[in-house]
Amino acid sequence: MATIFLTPDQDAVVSEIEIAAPPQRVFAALTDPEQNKQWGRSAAFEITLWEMDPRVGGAWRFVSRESGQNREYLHHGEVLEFDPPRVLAYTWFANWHEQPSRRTVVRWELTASRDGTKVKVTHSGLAAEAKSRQDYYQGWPGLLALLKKFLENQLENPMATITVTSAQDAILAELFIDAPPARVFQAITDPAQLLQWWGQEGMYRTTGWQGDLRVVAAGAARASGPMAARSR
Amino acid sequence: MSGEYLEVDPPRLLVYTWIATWTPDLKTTVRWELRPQNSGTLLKLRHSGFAGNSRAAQDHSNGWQRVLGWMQGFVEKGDTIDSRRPLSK
Repeated sequence: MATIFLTPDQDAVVSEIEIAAPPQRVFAALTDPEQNKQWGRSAAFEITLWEMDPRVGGAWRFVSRESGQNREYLHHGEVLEFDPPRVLAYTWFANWHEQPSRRTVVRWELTASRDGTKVKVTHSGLAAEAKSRQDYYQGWPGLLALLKKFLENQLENPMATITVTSAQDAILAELFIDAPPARVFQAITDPAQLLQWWGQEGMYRTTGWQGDLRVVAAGAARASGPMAARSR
Repeated sequence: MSGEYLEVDPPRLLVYTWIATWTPDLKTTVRWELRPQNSGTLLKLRHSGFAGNSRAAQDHSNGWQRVLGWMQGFVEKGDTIDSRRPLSK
């Protein structure tokens, strides 16, 4: 379970947890909107919006709501550090703070460990926020537990190693698949097979796939659901 | 999304252009390279042409993480959209 402590100057709460997933996977869960919406919600809270422009100076915000209540909790800020897969930090303003314009900072540090990743989150700037400091002291360990549960369940399937080139031009992925190339080739070209696996219930679903396996012949796929909305 | 096949060489290479309807100005290319390794396949995928658009590159890299996981589950275990349990809950 997560540890939690309050710094002696009462300015920051620091919570740590060990997660059996590589730092790259943890970093993706902290920055990908879809994943944040999935792991960050609980029986008591739902996340209705989560956005981040993943670069230093980029804006982020999320909106959550207590189940069965109408009040929305708005959180927003600016990315201060973006160093995948080690450090992510952003300013954190919330409409439910005693002083909503007060700047607080959330900083995630990921350290590779023998079994995965040591995750440390420090929420600072809370010295004058006695009430919300107490809420965070109680809240962060639970949130880290949700993150752990999400990532460790996901790792039942081995994951691809994915990197984005430093010029932000290309995505490179590498994955070992326990099936011969001919089988994989079929799965990625046969329209009937693509329809079976490309999609996720509740996220989006491929509704049509046409492909003509001739060079410079048009192929087209249509996805329905929130994928288009997500990527805007 | 739509595109055209640029190279088709079963079962080792598949290259196509990729134009998403939600980012029509971004004409990118997806290259699947399949190499036999032991009794399986080493897949190398390259999706290029983001031209410094870090947001689109990041979005797509998160998308590929999911897509490749689905494809792997399908060819290794026969998992389909209908048989997979939802990620959350």
